Amino acid sequence: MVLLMAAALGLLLVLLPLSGLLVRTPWHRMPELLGTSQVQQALWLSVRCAAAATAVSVLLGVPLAWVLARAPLPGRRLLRGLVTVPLVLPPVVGGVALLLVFGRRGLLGPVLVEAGAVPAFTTYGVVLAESFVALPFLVLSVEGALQSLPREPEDVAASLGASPLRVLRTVTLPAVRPALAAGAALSAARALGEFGATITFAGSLPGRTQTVPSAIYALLETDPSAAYALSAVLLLVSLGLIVALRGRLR
Amino acid sequence: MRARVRTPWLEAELACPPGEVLAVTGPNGAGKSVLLKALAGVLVSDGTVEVAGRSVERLPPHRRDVGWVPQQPTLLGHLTARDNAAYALRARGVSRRAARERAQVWLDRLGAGHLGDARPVALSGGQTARIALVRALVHEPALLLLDEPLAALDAAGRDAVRGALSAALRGSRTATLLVTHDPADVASLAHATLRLEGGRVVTGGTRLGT
Repeated sequence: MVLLMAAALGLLLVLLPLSGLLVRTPWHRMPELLGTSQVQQALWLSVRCAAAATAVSVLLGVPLAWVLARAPLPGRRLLRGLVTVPLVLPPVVGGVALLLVFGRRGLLGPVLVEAGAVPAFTTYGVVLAESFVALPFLVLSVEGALQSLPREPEDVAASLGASPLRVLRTVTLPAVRPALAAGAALSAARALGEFGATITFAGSLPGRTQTVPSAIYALLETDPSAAYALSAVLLLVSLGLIVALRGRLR
Repeated sequence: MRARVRTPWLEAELACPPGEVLAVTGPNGAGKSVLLKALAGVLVSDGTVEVAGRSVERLPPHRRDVGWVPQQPTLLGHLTARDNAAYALRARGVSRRAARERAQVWLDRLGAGHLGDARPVALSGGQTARIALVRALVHEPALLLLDEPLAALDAAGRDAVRGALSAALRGSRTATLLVTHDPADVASLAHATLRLEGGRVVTGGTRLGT
C-alpha cells in the first residue's frame, strides 16, 4: 500500500507539470504566437543547430564508439568514463569549460582570434555547445551495441577477402544501425533542448544564438503566452521522439 | 597444399593437394575448429602458422585466399541470400552484376537457386547452411575450411549437397579441410583423414581408397 502510494506520487510528479503545460498552453492562439519573428528565428535556428550537432555527433561519435569498444587501448575504461562526463555535468559548467577553451580569452583564444574564428557567441558556438552535450548519447548507444555484437560475422567477412574498412561498412555498421538511429535521435533531442551550455557559451542573441530554450527563457519575462506555446512545441517533439523510439530503448 | 599450425593449444601438420578433401575428425575440444580458425587467420593467439612453406600468422584474413564456413554460420541480415553468396566476389572488386550472376550459378549447383532473393531471416537452418557453403566457395579459394557444414541439413539434403560439393571440388584448385563427425561425409567426400585429439595429430593423412 505504501509502495503504491509512493509510486502514484512519483507518477504525479512527472505527469502533473506536463499536463499543467498542456492545459495552460493557449492552443487557439498558437499560429499567432508562433508566428512572430523572434519565435520563428528561434525555431529555425534550433532546427539547424540541432541537425548540425547531431551530424557532428554521428561523424565523431561512431569512430569514438568503435575505438572504445574495440581498440586494444590502455585506460579504455577511464576514457569511456570521461566521454560520458557531459551526461552528468551541469550544462552551465560545460558552457564555462567551453568558454575557457574556445572563448576569446580561452586557452585556444589567441589562435582562434588570429584565425578570425572564435566560436563563442556565434551560431557555430551553439553547435559546439550542443555537440558537447549530445555526443555522449550517441557514443554510449553505439558502443553498447558494438560490445554485444557477435564477432564471427566480421571474421567470416574478413576471411572472404573484406578489408577492415569494408567489414566495418558492410557488416558492423548495418548490424548496429538500430542503435545508431536511437543514439542519433537521443542526441538530436538533447541538442534541441540544450540551454545551460548554449546560453553560457554562445549567449542569447535573437537570430544568431537564441535557440528555442533560450527564447522561452527570454519570453517568460516579456510574453509568457509565447513562452508557453514554444514550451508546448518542445514537449510535443519529445513525446514524438519517445513514440518513435518505443522498444528501441532498454 | 601443406600447412603447419603451432599454437598453445594445437600442434598440427597436414597436407592436402588441390582438388582433394582432407577430413579432420576427433572428439569435441580436440582442436578441429581452432585449426580452421588459425588457417583462416581469425584466431587471436600466439604461435606460428605456415601454409605452403610460408609464414602467414601475421597475414590478415582478407589477404589469405580462403573460404571459411564456421560451425554455426550466420548470414548478413541486411543482404539477400544471393548477395550474401556473392560477398567474396564483391570484396574482390567484381562488379555487382557479375558477382550476382556467378553467385547464382553456385546457388543452383548446391540446390539453393530458388533462394537467391530470400532474406536470411526467412531461411531454415539447412537453407542457411547451403548459402554459407556457396559464400565460402564462390571465389574458388585455394583453401576451403568447412566446420561441420552439413550438420544443419536433413539426410536427403546432406546426400544432395555432398554430391554437389564433391563434383564442384573435383579437379578444382581448391584444397578442402572438412571437419566432421559424420562417417558418411568421410566416406563420400574425403580423400584422406586426419584425426586430432587434445590438440595433437594422432593419425595423420591416412589415404582412403578411392
